[in-house]
Amino acid sequence: MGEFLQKVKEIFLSLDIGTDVISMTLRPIFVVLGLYILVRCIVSLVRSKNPPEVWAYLKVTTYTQDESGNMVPVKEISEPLTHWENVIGRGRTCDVSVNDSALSRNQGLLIRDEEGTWTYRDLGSMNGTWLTEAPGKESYKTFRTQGNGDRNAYLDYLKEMEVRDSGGREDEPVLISKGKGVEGPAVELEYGDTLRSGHTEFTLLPISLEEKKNNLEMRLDDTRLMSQGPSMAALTLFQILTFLQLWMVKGDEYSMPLMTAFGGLFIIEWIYVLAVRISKRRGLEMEVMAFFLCTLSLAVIASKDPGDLVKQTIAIGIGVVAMFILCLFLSDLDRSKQIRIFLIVVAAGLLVVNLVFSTYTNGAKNWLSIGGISFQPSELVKVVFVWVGAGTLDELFRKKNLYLYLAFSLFCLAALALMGDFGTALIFFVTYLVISFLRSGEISQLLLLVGAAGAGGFIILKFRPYIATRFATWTHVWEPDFINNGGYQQTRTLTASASGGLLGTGAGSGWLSREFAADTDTVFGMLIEEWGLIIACFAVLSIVTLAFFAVRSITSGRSAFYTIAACGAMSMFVFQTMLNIFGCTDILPFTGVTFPFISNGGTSMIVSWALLAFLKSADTRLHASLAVRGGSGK
Amino acid sequence: MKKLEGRATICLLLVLAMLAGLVFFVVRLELHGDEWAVKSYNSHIFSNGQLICGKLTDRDGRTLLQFTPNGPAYLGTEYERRAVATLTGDVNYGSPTGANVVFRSRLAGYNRITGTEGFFGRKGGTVVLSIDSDFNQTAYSAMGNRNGLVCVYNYKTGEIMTLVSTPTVDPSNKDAMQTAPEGAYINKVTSATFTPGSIFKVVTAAAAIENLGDLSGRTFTCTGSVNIGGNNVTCPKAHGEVDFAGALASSCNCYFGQLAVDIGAEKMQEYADRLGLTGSYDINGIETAKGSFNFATDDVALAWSGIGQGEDMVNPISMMVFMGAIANDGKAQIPTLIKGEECGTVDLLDEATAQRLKALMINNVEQNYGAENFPNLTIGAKSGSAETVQGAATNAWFSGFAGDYAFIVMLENAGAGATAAGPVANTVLQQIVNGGK
Repeated sequence: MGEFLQKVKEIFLSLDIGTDVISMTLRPIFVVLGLYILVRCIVSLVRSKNPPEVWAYLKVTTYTQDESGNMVPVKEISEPLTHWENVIGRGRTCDVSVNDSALSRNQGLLIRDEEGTWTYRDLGSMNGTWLTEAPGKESYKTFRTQGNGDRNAYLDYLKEMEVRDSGGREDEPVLISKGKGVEGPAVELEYGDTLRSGHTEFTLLPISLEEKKNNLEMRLDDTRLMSQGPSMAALTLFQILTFLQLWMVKGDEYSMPLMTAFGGLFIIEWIYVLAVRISKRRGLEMEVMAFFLCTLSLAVIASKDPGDLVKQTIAIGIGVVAMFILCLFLSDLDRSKQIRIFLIVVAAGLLVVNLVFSTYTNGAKNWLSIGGISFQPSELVKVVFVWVGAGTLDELFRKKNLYLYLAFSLFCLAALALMGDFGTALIFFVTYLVISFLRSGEISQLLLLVGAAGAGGFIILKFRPYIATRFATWTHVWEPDFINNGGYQQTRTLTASASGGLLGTGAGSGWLSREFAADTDTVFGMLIEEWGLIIACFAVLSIVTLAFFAVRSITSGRSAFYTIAACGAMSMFVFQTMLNIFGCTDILPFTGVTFPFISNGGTSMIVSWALLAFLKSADTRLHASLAVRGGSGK
Repeated sequence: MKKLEGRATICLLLVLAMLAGLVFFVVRLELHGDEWAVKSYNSHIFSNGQLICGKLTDRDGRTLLQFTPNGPAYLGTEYERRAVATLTGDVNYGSPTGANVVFRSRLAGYNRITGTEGFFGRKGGTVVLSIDSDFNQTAYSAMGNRNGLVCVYNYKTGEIMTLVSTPTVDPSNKDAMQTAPEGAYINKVTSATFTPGSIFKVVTAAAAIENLGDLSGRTFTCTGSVNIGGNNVTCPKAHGEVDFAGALASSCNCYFGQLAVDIGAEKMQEYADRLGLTGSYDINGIETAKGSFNFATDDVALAWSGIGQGEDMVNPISMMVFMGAIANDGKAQIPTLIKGEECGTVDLLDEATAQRLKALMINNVEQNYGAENFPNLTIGAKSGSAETVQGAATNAWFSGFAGDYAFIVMLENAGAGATAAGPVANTVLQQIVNGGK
C-alpha cells in the first residue's frame, strides 16, 4: 500500500503542475466548501421551526363570587401543555400563567414522566391546592402514587405527610398541599382530575387520537429538516482535497499515516451517517459541524505532529461511539437522572486517583497513565460536571439538589487547583455559573460567586507566580521584555496569523507548526496561517452554530434536565473556545486550553463528542435526534 | 420551563461575547497585520533576520534595493548608493526613516488578502519611490562635501522629487557604523529641526499681512541697528530706507524685528502653529519632527524670534510645505515618498495672502538674488543665514518655489544663504523644472 502510494505520488509530481499552483487553486475551493457546509447547517437551523410538542391539555376555569355568594365561572380556556415539566401559578414566567390573585406566584408543578404518567406537586403555595377526582369514572378513581395502588393506602400516605384529608369521601376535594413554604407531596393524576387552588380550577385532559395525529402532521409540516447528504458530500470532498494538499507537501514517510487518518475519518463519518439512517433519524447538522472541525484537527496535526494522526483518528472514532451510546442512554430521563450519584462517585474517584498518582507535565498535574494509555481525567469529568448540573424542574425547586451540585463543583475546582490546571478550573467555574443561573435564576447569587472567584483569583496569583506573569504579559506581548519570553506564543501566533491572510499559506506550509504546542494552545494561529482567516472564522462560527442549536432547543424542551445539560455543554464549548482563541491572540491572558474538536489531544476529542450528546438530547425536532424518543406518541 | 427560556439569555451573552471578541480580533488583524507580519522570525519572508523578498525602485523604475534570500542588495556604484542612502536605509538598519524600515511591510509584500504569500505565489512587494535617483545624484553632487539637506517636491501632487541628507554612509557597507560621521543616520529633512534664520521672515510677513493692515506705506530707515526694548537688533549692514517688500528682499532684521513686536507674541505663536511649523506631518508613516518656538519673553527676544533666530527651531519639510502653499494660493499637498500615493492636503493661507507673499518672494529674487542666477525659472525664494554656534560660519538656507515645485536647501556652516545654498537650489531645479538632464 505504502509503495503504491509512493508510486502514485511520483507520477503525480512528475506531471509537474507545480505544487504551488495546485495549493493555490485548492484554497478558494476549501473556502467555498466550508461556506457551503456552514451555511447549510445554519439554514437548516433557521428553517426547521421545531414547533412544540403537545403532551396534554389543561382546562383552566376561573371563578368569581356573584352577589349571592356563589362561585360562577367567568373564563374557561384550554392550555396545551408543551413540556414535560410545567409550572402553574400567577407568575408571568409560569408555563400555565393565570391571573388569579389567590394563586401563589409559583403554585405547583405539573410533571409528565417517561411513561406518560402525570404528577402534581404543590410548591408550598399560600392558599393550598385541592384535588377532585374525575367524576363518574370509577376506573380512574384509584389514586396511584409512588407504588401505592389503592385509595386507602393513598389516604394513609396523605396522613403520614400531615396533609389534611377531606375525610375520605370520594367526590370531595382533597387538600394535597402542606401549607405555605412547605413543599407538598407528588400526587399522581389521572386525566379528568381537577386541581383547585384560589379561584381557579385546572382539569387535566388527554389529547384525542385525532388531535395527536393533527399535531404530528403539523409538526411534520413545520419540521422541514434539510437533508444533510449534500453537506456530507461536500465535507467528504473537503477531506479528499485536504488529504491531497497534505500528501503533496509532507514527506513521503507520512503518506501512510495521512491515508490512514483521512481514510479512517471517512469510514467513521459514513458509518455514523448510516447508523443514524437506520435509526430513522435525520438531524445531522451538529455532527456535520463536528466532523468539519475534526477534519481541520487532522490537518493541523498532520502539519505539526504527523505521528499523532492515527491516535487522533482513533480518538475521533471512540468519541463518535461514545456520543452514540450517550445519546441512547440520555433518551431515558429516569435512567439519566438516577445515574448521577454514581457518576459523582466515579468522577470524584478519578480526580483523587489523578491527584495521587500523576506527575507534573508542563506545569500541571493533569495526566494519568494506565496501561500505557495516558489521558486527562479532568477532561472526562467535564461530561459528569454537566450531567450532574442538569436537573428536572422538580429538582430545581428543591434546595438539597443545589447543595449537592455546589459541593461537587467545589470539589472539582479544588482538585483542579491542586493539579495546577487553572484553565480547566476556569472553564468549570464559568459552566457552574451558567448552570446555577439556569437552575436558580438569581442574578445576585451569580454576582456573589463572581466576586468570590475574583478574590480567589487574587490568592491564586499570589501563590502561583507563573499565572501572575501571564497577566503581566497580557496586552504587552510586543514589548521587548515579553516578545521572546512570556509573549512568545502570542507574538508567534499573531505574526503567523498576519502571514496567512484570508486564504492561508496552504495546509502543511506554515511555520507556526514548528513551535511548541502549536496544534493545541495556539491552534487558532495555525488555522489562520495555513487555512486562512476565513476558514478559521468558520471554525469559530461552527461552535457558535452549535451554541444556537442548544439555546433554541429550550423553547420546546421536554424536560429542564435536557435543556440545562445542553446549555451547560454549550457554555463549556463556547467558553473553552474563547479562552483558546483569545488567549493566543492576546485578547485574554494566555491559558493554554484546547479548542473543542480541533486541538490535538485524544481525551479532549472524545470529551468534545461526548458533550455533543447533551446537545443532541435537547434537539426535540421531529425525528431529528437519536437521543430523543419519538414524539408525543404514548 | 418558560422560566428557563429567560435564563438562557446568559448563554447567548457568552456567545455574543465570543462573536464580539472575534470581530475585535479581525479588526485588530486588519489594522496591525502589517506590523505583526513583518517580524524577523517570520520565516515566510525573513531569513537570518533579513527580508528575503521585496524591491525598492525610484520613480523611473530603477531598482535601488533588492531583497533576496541571500540578503539585501543595495544597487549601483558607491556614489549612486550614497546619493540615495537616506531614502533606502542601510544594511545595518541604522536609520529609522530608511525605506528598509519604514516600508518593510510593503517590501515584504504584506496585504490583507494574501498575508505575506503575495498574489499567485509571488512574495514580496515593489515600493516605487517618488524620487528620481538622477535628481538625487545631482543634488548630492551639488552639495559637494558640505553637510546639510536638499528637498524638492511637487506641491500639486505631493511627490517628493529629490531628498538628500548628508553626510551619508555607503548603505551596503556592513562596517559603516563604527566610522559613520555624526548625523549620517538622520534624515535631516523629515526628522530634525534647525534654527531657520531669515527664511522665517516669510512667516512673520504672513502674520503681518493679515494683522497689521495695509503695509504698503510702512517704511523704515535702517541704520544697521535698532533699539527694541532696551536692546539692539542688528543688521549686517545699514539698508537705508526700506518698505515692506524691500525689507524682505534685503532681509532687514531691524524692520522685521519691529514687525514681530508689533504683531505680538500671541499672534506669532498662532501663525507658527497655523502654518504647520509646530505640528507633525505623516509622510507614508514617517512622523516628521515638530518645530518649536518661544515668543512669549521680552520684546527683544520676540524681535529675534521674528527673524528666525532666538529659540526658533524649524523642521525643513514643514517649511517646504509652507512654500508650496504660498505658490499654490494657500493650499499644498502633504509630501509623499511613494509615487502616486497621496498623504493629504493642508490649507495654510488665505488666497490673497498667499498671492501677495508669492509676489514678494519673486521680488526677492529679482531685487536681491538675481534672476540671472536662475535662468529660465520663475522662482520665488527667501534665503537665510542662521547663526547656530558663535564664531562659526552660518547655516546657509534657501527655500521657495519654482514651477510646480517647492524646495528647501540647507548647507551647514556654509556661509550666506543666497550665495552658498542658492546655486545648489538652481542646479537641482534646472534639472527638475527645466528637464536639463
